[in-house]
Amino acid sequence: MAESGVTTRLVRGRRLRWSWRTFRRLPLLPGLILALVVICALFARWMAPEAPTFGKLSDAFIPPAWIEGGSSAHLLGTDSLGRDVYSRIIYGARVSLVVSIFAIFIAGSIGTVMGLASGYFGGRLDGLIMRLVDIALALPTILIALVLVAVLQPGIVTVIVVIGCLSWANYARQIRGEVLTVKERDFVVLARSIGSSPARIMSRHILPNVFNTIIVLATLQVGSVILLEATLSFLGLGVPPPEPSWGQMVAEGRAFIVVAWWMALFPGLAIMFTVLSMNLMGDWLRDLLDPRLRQL
Amino acid sequence: MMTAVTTEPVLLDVRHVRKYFPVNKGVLLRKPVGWIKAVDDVAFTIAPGQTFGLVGESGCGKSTLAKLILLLEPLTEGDIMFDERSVTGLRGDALKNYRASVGAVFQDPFSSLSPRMRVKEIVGDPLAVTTDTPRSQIEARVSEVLEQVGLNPSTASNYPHEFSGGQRQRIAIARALSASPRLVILDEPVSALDASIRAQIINLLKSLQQELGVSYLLIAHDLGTVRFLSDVVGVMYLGQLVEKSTSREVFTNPLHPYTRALLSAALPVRPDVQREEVVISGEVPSPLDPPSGCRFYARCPAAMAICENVQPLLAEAEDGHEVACHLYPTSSPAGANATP
Repeated sequence: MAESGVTTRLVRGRRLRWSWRTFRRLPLLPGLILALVVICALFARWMAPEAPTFGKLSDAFIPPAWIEGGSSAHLLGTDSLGRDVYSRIIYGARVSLVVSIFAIFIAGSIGTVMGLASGYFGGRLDGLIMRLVDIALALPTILIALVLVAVLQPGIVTVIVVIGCLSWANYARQIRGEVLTVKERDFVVLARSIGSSPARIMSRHILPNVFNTIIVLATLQVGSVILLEATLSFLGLGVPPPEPSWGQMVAEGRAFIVVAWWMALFPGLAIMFTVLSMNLMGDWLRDLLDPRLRQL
Repeated sequence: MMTAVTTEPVLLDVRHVRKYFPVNKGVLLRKPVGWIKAVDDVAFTIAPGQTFGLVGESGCGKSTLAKLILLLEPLTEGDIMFDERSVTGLRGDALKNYRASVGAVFQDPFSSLSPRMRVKEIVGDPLAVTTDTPRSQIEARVSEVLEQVGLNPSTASNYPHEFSGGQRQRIAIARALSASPRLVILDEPVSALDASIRAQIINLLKSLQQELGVSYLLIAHDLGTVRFLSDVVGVMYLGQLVEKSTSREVFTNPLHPYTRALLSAALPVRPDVQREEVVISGEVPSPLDPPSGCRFYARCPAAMAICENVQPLLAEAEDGHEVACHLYPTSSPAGANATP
């Protein structure tokens, strides 16, 4: 009886109540930063004072507004072609957001299907998929991404597909572990006893019970996807110029780091704060969806 | 020779069923080094509208037997007949019909209901899978069974966590009944519930049986529940049936030393009344390597020389009362329980 009492409390705790307490532990600053990034991406046209590709060579290398020689027209200065750094960062948020959403969707879909199949069927298929995961995790992601992007047509779609196909392994491994525990529970055994097909059991009985994990992993991965996109763009294999992306801006600024440090610093800070905020949000969401931590 | 039980029509006929699980060793080449004899030559029948109670301690193969009947595990040997048809070779629609005819309720109402499905989805699932009932009729049927198990049909859209343990077990019973089965397997249906709720669920099961005429296979270690619900009781020890008779017979006139010990271990209704105390020592032998003679030999207070080498077979010792024990010399040949 004592045991069932414990179960009762645990499962009751699983209930998610959306109240102010839910958000009590929401990290405020990261939340604001992310909201800002999303707003920038959606309303870049109205938020940015200038078009991201517009530049006058006569305006090149203007320092940020608060430094001697700076102009209030260019808050964060201008780059080597006279383009407004502030406007380009705002437009750059689009690339980061689009790439991370779609790449994570691809990675999540592949990883979820692989993890479900691996965990549910077990046996040889499990062995095969888990060896694939081991291989995928052992690959030097950036090197492979470089090769793939170089071979394929460069562009935002290529970047999305390549990043998506390279980061599914973590999902597969995590979800497989979850499936292994869920599939032993009585409701799955009962579903099998009435002759439900494996596809039905996986989609209706198991998937909804591992969905938390998928959401949390996805959030935690946004940071690394933004970084990977920035890295690819930095190496000249991401979104082709003049379309702005943070990584590409850092790369361009590198050549002028001594004379115009602001060209690389501000997009670099944008990457850093976005990734950091995203990771903190992921931690918060993980704690929120984990019933063992929710009562704290 | 025929017992009172077997002259009635038979719904489920478990015929000398065996289930051995292989024990593998080795990393690369997994060689079977032995077999766990989880169910070893078990035979019994269940008549329509009747309850067969299966008792025995943990690990004696009760739940494995349930899994075999639910076709969750393949049989090693023997056969299971439902309505005089073997269930092992069923395919297609016949298999679907069998799945619809057999429902199941498991012990833990927290593990047996998916926390992410609404009550109506849970209860309607067997209907949706085993029958071609259109969606609109499934909803109506769900309301109907929810009412039958004493739940308000307006709660059909709720999630399981909004219910208490007893209500959750009612939901589990509603699911087992939704496809109108003729046999429901109750695997420890009240073991996880509080004593107060336990009585409600037991009464519910009893009244549902009277109302619907379903048969129950009741698996439990709680003797009180078994006694109250069962018409016929089988006692299992280490994968085998050691005693089988009507509920009244087994509980008032236990023959097998193991059954006596089992009854003696249960808390009495009237603790002040003097009773015979049978204490057995030792552990259950490993089903991997069961003793060659009687499986209860090493722990039996009444062990004789013959018990060590000759396995006693289930045979009629008194009228309608079968027992597998050398203490009761029977005129009938070994394996008499086989004939349905």
